[in-house]
Amino acid sequence: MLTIQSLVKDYGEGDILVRALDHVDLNINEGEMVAIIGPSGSGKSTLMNILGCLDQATQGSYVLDGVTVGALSENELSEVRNKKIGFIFQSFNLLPKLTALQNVELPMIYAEAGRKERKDSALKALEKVGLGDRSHHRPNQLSGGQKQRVAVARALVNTPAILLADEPTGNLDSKSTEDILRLFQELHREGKTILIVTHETEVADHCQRVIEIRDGKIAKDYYNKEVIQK
Amino acid sequence: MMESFRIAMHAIASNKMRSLLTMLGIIIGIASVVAIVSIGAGTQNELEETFAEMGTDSISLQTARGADLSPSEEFTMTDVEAIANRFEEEVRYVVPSISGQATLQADIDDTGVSVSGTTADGVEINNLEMVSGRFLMDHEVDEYRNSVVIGDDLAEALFGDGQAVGETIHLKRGNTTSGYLIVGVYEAEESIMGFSGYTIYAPYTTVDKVMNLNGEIPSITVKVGQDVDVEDFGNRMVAFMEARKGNAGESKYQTFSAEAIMETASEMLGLLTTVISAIAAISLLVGGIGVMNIMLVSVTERIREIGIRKALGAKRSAILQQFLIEAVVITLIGGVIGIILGAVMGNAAGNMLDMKASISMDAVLIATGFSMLIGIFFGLYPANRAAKLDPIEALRHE
Repeated sequence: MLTIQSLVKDYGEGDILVRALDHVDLNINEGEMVAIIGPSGSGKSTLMNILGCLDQATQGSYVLDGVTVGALSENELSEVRNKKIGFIFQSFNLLPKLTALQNVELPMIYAEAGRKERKDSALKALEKVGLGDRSHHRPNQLSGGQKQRVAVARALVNTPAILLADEPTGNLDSKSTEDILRLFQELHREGKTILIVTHETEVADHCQRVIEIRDGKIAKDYYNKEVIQK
Repeated sequence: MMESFRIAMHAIASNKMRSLLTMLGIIIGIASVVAIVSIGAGTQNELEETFAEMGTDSISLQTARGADLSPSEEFTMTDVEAIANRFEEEVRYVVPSISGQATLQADIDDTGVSVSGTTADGVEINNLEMVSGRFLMDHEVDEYRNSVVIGDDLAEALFGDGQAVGETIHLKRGNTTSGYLIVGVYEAEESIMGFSGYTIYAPYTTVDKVMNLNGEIPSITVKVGQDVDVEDFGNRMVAFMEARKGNAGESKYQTFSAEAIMETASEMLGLLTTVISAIAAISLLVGGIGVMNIMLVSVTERIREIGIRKALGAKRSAILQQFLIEAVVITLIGGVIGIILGAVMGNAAGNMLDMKASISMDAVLIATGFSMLIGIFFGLYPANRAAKLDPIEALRHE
C-alpha cells in the first residue's frame, strides 16, 4: 500500500543543514493500523507531512497506492491528497462557518463531485461516525469528540487509500479518546489502512503495529500481539 | 465555479459590515460616473432638440470677423437675390438678416431687446409658430413700415392676458424713439439656459434705415431643401459670393449654422463629461485599492482555512478562484448598487436642472464590466498570495 525507501529530508543548507529524516525505509501493508511514536523533534511530523503529500522528500522514493509521489507536480500532489489520503488533525481543523455536513463535503467539492452525490456521501459518512443527526450543526455546537468524528467522516468521504491521523486524541478527554480509538479500530476491522502519529502510549497500545522514530531514523518497529489477537 | 461563487457569497455575508464598507468606494465611484454620464447624455439630448427647433437646415453667410471689407464687398439685396437664383434648386428660402439692439420703453422699466430685421420668409427661416396675428408681409418690407412681431413672453410681460396685436411699442435706438405696431405674436421657445432675452422681428428695410446701413446687409440666411448637406452648401455659397465679389481666397466671408454650433457644443460637452468622469473614475481606483486591502486582510485571517482546504485537496487554482470570485462579487455588487444610486442621482439632478437625465444601456454595461475588471485586477494579487501559501505553514498558523 505504502512503501518508502531510504527517504531523506533536509531543512536549510550548508552549516545550518538539519537532517530531519535520515534514510528511512518503511513498508505498510493494506489494512494495517500503525502507530508512529517518538519524542518531539524526532522527525515523526516530517515523516507524517511527507506521507501526507504535504511536503516532498529531499532524497529517496515514496510510492503510495501505486503512485510514485516524488515525481509529482504541485497540482498532482493536491489530487493525491484529495483522492488517496484522509487527514485527521489534533485540532480537528473544521471550517467554523460551515455545518458538519458542509465540512464533510469539502473534499468532494475539490474532487468535483456532483451536488447530490456529495450530499449523499457526506451524510453516509456522518452516519458512519454516528453523527447523522448532527449534520446541520456547526463545529461550535459540537463537543470535542463529536468534532473529531466529523473530521473522521471528512477523511473517509472520498474513500482514500490511507487515513493519516496526527495526534487525533491530543485535544480530547479520556472518554472521547476511547470513542475515537474505538472508531479507528472499527475502521481497521473493515480493512482501512490507518496511520496514527501519537506520543500517547495508550493510543499506540490500540494499534496493531508500532513504529518508533528517533533522531530521524526508525528505532523500533514491532507488532502488538494483543491487538492482533483481537 | 458554482462552489467558489457560493463560498464567496458566504464569506461576504458573514462579514456584512466590512463587505459593505469595502463596496462603498466602488459604489461611490460607479455612482458618480453613471450620474455624470447620464446628466451629460441628457444635456446632449436637450441641446440637440433645441438646435433642431432652431433649424439644422439653416445656414447664414456673414462677413468674417475682423475682415476689412470695401463697400463693394458688403452684401446687398442684389446678392440675396443672386444666391436665390444661383441655388434655386437647393434653397427653400433666402432672406437678409440684420440684427440690432434697441431699448424697449415701457411703463415701469426699459428693457433691452434684440431686433431682427428680416422678410416675410423670416417666419419660415426662424421656425416660428404664430400665436396670434400674423408675420410680416411683403408690402411692409417694401414700404419700410414700423411693424413688428413679438414673442408671447414679451406680450405677456407688457399686456398680461390682454391682446397685444394692434398695440404699439416704443423702441429707442441712439437718440431716436419710434412707435411700432405689433402685427403678430409668436411662440417664444424656452432656451436651455432659461432666459434668452426678447427677440422682436421687424422688416429688414426698417431696421436698415434705423441703423443707417444704407442698404448693406450684414448676414444672409438660407434655409436649404431636405436633401442638401448644409456644410457643403455653405462652402459653395462662400465660393459663389467670393467669385461674385472678386475676392476669392481672402477669407472675407464665413458661414454660421445651427448644426455647426451644435457640433461644437456637443464636442465641448462630450469633453467636459469625459473629464469629469475621469475625475470620478479616480475614486473607482481608490475603491479598488480598498478592495485589495480588504482581500489581503481576508487572506491573512483565513490562512488556516486555506491550509485546511489545501490539505483536503484544493489546488492552487481552486484557492485563487475562491478569493478572486470573492473580490469580483464584492465589486460587482458594489457596481450594481452604484449604477442604481447613480441613476437615482442623475435623475434627481436632472429634475433640478429641469431636464431629463438619460441612462444608456451602454453606460450600465460599461460600469458593470469595469467594476468586474477592478475586482479581477485588485483581487488578483491577494488571491495569488493565498494560492501560493504552503499548506504545512498554513496549517500551523494560529
